[in-house]
Amino acid sequence: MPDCIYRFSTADKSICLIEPAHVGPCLARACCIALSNHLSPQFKPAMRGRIKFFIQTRDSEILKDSHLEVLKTYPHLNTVLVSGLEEDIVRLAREKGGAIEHISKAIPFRVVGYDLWHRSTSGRQ
Amino acid sequence: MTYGIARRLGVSRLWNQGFTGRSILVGIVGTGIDRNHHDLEAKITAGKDFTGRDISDYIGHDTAVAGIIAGKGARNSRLRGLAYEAQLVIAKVTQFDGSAEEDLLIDALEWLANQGVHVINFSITSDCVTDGKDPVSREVNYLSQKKGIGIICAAGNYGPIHYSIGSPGAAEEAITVGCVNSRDVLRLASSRGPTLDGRVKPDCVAPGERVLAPRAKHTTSCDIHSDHYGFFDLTSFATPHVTGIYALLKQAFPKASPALIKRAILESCDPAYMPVISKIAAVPAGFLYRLRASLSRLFARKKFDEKCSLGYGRVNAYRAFLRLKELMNIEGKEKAQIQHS
Repeated sequence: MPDCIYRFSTADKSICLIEPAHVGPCLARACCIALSNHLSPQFKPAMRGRIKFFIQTRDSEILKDSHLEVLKTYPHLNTVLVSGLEEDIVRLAREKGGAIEHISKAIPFRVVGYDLWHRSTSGRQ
Repeated sequence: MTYGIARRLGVSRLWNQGFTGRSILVGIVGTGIDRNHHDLEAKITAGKDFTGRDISDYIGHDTAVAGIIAGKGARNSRLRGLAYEAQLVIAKVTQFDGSAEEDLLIDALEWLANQGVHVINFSITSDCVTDGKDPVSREVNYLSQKKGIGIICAAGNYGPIHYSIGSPGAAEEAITVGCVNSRDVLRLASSRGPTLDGRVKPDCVAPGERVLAPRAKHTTSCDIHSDHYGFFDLTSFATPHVTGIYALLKQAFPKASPALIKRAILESCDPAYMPVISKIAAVPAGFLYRLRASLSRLFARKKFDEKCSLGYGRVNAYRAFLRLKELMNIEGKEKAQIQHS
């Protein structure tokens, strides 16, 4: 099961979850509108604790009063990597969403095909 | 990489003209490298492990990738890489389970750019479908546009459904590579476009079926051929073919920009073909929907589906070389005209 991903909408300053498995059949947009500001309950238990997010903004001052911890900055991308609870991210988006261009959860990357190999090699053994 | 593939891709004709990747620096983001493999000895000019260990390859993935790009073929010249005189810079980003964190990938790309690489092979992907605006994709666009580095990305192995290309394959400036078999028929697992924002991806396809490549010591993540070689599959190993071709073209035309090389590669592709079974598998589930959609989707949207699965087709190095020569001439004439006027 692939990890879910957060998306930020500049139109209504909402954060939503996109589950990639949904993307093919229902298209992400529909899921996004349905979830709006509220994170899908089914993902909530797994999402407890601090999560890493990338926030794309030209005004990094917006992070000053938040509970988010700045881990890295990428000035050439106008992006900041922060760590925080999902509630903090939602609050930031609601209050200062106008200054934010994009928010995305830090997503895991994998060696392409590693899972396939793993399956095939364990099958052989 | 076997000589057969080099001939099929038109690479051997470039070798005959003296283009072998000499003076080209290729960056590889991935699982590290077996630097003692006889095909890769003295090939590595720099290496860094962003996970805090050493650059040894415990998975075997990017030793094979490196061999396909720049393997020397030390014991058998028929097994050398496409740009066999290129040098390598290795950025290791993966943990033992093959996973990598997004911020490390950006750090690795930045570090490779600072090492002065001409092209970067990126056979790592995310299974989260994106619109190309995620941080890694934006970093790829930045390096390509501002630093003049070509970045070749694997499409991923999440096909045959559409909308299965993640980051950084969705990056606009990247050359995103799907994979075909030995008859240029698309492999079912090769990820399909379009991207989440509707752009056509992958850009092209390359051989990704039973590619013979160097095997890192003690690794078994392939069909084992012998002590030092294995057969590797899917888009990870299709991507280095395009990286190797890019290196050869960069050697031939050092002043060509990544965008121009990309254009030449794509405009000179040979035809590739859709497998019949994937057309059926790509239709979303649901009996009624399938009935109604079968005709419209399979025939009316056939061209769009093919474009979002095969891109421009299967790469051809020699034709890309000729096309790039043309494009460079046109660009040179335009510049001269502007200066003249």
